[in-house]
Amino acid sequence: MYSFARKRFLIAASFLLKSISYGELLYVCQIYNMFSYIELRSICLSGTVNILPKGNKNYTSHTANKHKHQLFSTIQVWHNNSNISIIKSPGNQLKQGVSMKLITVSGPPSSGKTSILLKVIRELQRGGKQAGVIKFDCLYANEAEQFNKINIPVKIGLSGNLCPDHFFVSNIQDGLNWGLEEGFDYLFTESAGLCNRCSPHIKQVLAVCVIDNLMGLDTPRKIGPMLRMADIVVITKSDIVSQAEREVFAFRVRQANAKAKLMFVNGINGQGAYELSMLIQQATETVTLEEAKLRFSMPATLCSYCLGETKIGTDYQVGNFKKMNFSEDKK
Amino acid sequence: MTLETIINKDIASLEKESPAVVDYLKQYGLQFHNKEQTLGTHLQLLTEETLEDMGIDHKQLLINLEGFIRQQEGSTIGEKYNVKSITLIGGHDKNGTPENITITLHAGTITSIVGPTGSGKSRLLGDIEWMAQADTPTGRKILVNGDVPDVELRFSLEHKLVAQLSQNMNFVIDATAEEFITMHAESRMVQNTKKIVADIIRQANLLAGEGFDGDTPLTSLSGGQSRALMIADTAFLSTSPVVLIDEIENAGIDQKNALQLLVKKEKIVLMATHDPILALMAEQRLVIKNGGIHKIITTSEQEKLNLEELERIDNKILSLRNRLRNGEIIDNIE
Ligand SMILES: Nc1nc2c(ncn2[C@@H]2O[C@H](COP(=O)(O)OP(=O)(O)O)[C@@H](O)[C@H]2O)c(=O)[nH]1
Ligand SMILES: [Mg+2]
Ligand SMILES: [Zn+2]
Ligand SMILES: [Zn+2]
Repeated sequence: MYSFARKRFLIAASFLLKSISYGELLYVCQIYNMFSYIELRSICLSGTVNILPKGNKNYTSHTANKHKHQLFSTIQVWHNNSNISIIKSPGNQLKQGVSMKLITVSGPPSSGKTSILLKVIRELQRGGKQAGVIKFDCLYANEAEQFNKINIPVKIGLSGNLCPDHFFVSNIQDGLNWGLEEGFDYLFTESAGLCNRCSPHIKQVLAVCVIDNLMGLDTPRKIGPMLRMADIVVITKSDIVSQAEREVFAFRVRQANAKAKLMFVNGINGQGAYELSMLIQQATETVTLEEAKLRFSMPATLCSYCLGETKIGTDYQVGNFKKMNFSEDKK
Repeated sequence: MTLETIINKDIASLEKESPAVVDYLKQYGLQFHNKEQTLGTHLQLLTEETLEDMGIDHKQLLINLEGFIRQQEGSTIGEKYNVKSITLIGGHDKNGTPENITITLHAGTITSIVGPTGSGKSRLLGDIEWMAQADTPTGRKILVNGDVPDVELRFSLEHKLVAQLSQNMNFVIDATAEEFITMHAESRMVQNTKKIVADIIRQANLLAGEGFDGDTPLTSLSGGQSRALMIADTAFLSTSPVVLIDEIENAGIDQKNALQLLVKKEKIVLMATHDPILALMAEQRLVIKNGGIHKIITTSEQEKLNLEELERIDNKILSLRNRLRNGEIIDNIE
């Protein structure tokens, strides 16, 4: 696969990098476009780098910078000692652009997220790519079987009595590390937006929202940032409603998000999945989410009921709560 | 009207001149108490907290508002995108065998598509819908009015090329025929909503075997009535220049006139069917095989003559059906 010269370089580099973890190595190399993910894998598999799956929390941009310099000088040293001149400028020469793309997929329950992912990933697999899925849900998720059936590795996270989107945020970096370790080309997260208010979409990470034509024509107005802040809106179940309803529905989706790409995809027969997979291939690569920002804040769940209160009545309402005004419109 | 002019108007004049914009913003939960303020100032003064409650940020709100203004205008200006023809430049079938064809489908014509299930009919439609530029598995290319279309239009609603009508499609919303068609007309920003809605319902009644009126809830229309309403609605209101009719049943609807209506409205009609009467009503048919267009057959004079005979047979079956329904005995079939 690699030229002999390249291999030697990789081994040389990996010696110097012995002290850092796998996640860190990825981080340094990928932010500086040093070399491809696959090459990094081979460095690590050569056993010279200590693999710490979770990455190191104390890893700062300062240390990243230090490692970058170490890498550059390794390359320099190796280059000077060899008469093979394939490496001119490490930054450019080694750039391969093969690394993992993270895509967040959200949408109300049963809108067709899993069906769409299955079809899209199959298209990506046909193109020789590997993808994994992390599914976030509240109480129950039966997706594992469906994904495993077509060889898609999947991790399921159940948030229990937490809002699944809050749960998402606190777990996504670890999820990302899992994906990087597995060597996926694409990592999808599937999360069911249950409160219509939270959204897992992250800045710089391709955000897909899946909604279906059966939800009623008012739904696009009711869904918050999950729909409004998405880059791609996928509309499913077009095969069972009239053309007219599709047109009105899409018109309303457009009003809720003027700039997203609108795609009609059929979750059952996969019509439109190829086209969607083409769009997904244009996603940017994600190396780390440390310091990344959500596209929209998640509401504070700070009332007494968040904390398990079950009794109704003013006495029990503590914290961040809001009262409706029932007398306002009486004139 | 640009975003800027809207932003610089005060709320009072906006309420008078562009009530739709005000209504649109109210959907986000915005309240306008100070009517002298310009919209821009009003939006500037929204606190982080209010925006958070609204579930949108300042930037996205402006983007959406601009989109809304464009939506409103886009359609009042009229058809910016008048599709006269779609040209399909062949790619290859599943084995990579080149199709070696170029076909142009003109507005106001009917083309039928035949071939076994799984032969690639959906992919063909998909290629047209996506305005493929050799970037789908078939390698086909699509030209609109003879030119390479702007691929960004793939995601624009106003430029969706294909409207679809099939067996499985039903009305699902809880509204009367008239209410819903009005909603559709409003989303198209047509000038004379009342008239168009009335026209559509009248047309649908002409096409459907049994009549219905505007007050009928959509979900209680019969199969034939729904189909008739869908076709009439598509003919009058759909933005898409291409209409695909997929294996539609012939019960309860006057298919010949339905097709005629679409042709009269300058649609490019594609019809996936194995009903000989329907297939022969088309000027030509595409034979799909193994993922590729295998052949293009122009409906011959002889076939057209046969069509008359077929219609006679069909009518005969129809009358037998009616006799059965009326409790008669089918002792002779003449
Ligand atoms: N008719 C139709 N059904 C669909 C479509 N997409 C998904 N479904 C069905 O909708 C149900 C929910 O889909 P699923 O993918 O599990 O939704 P999720 O909860 O968002 O992951 C399943 O029964 C799917 O078969 C579609 O495009 N058309
Ligand atoms: Mg699911
Ligand atoms: Zn939430
Ligand atoms: Zn609470």
